[in-house]
Amino acid sequence: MTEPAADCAAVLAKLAQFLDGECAEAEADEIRGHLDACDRCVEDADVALALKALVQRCCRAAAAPQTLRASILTTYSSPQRTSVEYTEITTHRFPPQ
Amino acid sequence: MDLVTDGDKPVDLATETESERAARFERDALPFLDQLYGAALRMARNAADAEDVVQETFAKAYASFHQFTPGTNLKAWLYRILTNTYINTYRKKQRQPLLSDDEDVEDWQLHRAEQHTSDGLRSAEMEALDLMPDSVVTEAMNALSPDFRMAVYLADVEGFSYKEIAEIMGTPIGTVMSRLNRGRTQLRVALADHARELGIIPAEGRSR
Repeated sequence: MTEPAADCAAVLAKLAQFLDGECAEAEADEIRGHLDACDRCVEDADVALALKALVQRCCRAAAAPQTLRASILTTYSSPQRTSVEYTEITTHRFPPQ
Repeated sequence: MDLVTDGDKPVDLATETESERAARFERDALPFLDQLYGAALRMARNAADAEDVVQETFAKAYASFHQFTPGTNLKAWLYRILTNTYINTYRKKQRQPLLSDDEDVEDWQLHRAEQHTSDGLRSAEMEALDLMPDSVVTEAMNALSPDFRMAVYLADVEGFSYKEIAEIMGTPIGTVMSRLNRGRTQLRVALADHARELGIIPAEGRSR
C-alpha cells in the first residue's frame, strides 16, 4: 500500500475539521477516500475520535444542585426585576445577522 | 442539531406580559441549567464559583430575555452570557491571564497538524485510557488554559459547531480552530504522559 506523504499532510491538516463535521461534502469525500487507503491516517483519526469520546464521557455535565435550581427560580419569578443593568450583554442580535 | 426553541406559537415581545415571559423563560431556558452548570464547573473548576456564575447567568438572561429573538439559537445565546459572565467576574478575580500563550497568533494554520501524531498515544492505547478514572481526564482538562479548555469543552462535550463557538467566545472561527487544535494536542500529550506514568503504555513511546 502506498502512503503519499503530501496527501497525508493535506488530510491531517483537515482531519479535525472532518471529524468535527466541519468539512464541505466534496472535501469530506476526498478525506474519506484517503482514509480508505491509508492506515496511518486512520490511526490518527481513531486517536482523535477516542480523545473526543473520552472528553465527552469524563466531562459530561453534572446535575446542577437543587439549591441552585431553587434560587434561580426565585430570581426570575420576582416581578420587579429591571433589565437596565444588563443591556450591554445583548446590544447585538444573536446570532449576528 | 436543531437548537431552535421557539415554542408552539409565535411570541409577540411587545405585548408579552411579565408572567408570560417568566413562563416562556422557564419552559425554554431552564432546561439548559444542568448543561450550563457543567460548563461553568469546567470554567471555574470549583462548585461554589460555578454556582455563582450560573446564578448570575440566569439573572442576566432573564433580564435580557425580551431582547432575545425567539426562534434563534437560545442555547448558544445562554452560553455566550455564561462565558461573558465568567470572563468579566471570575477570571479577573482569579487573575488568570485573559489570553493564552501566543494567543495573539491568529493564524491557526501555524498550529494545525500536518504530521502523524508522534507521542505514542495510538488507538490501541486509547482503549487502555478508557480504564483511567474520569478525574484524570478532568484534571488534564483543568490544566489547559481557560480558552483552550472552553473550546474543547464546547466542541467535544456540547457538540457546538465552530461557528457557534466563535459566537459564544467572541472570536473569529480561525481562533476557534487554533484553540481546539492546541487544546486537544496538549490534552493528548498530558494523557499520554499520565498513561506512561501509570504504566498503561510503555515509556519508550515518547518521541518528542
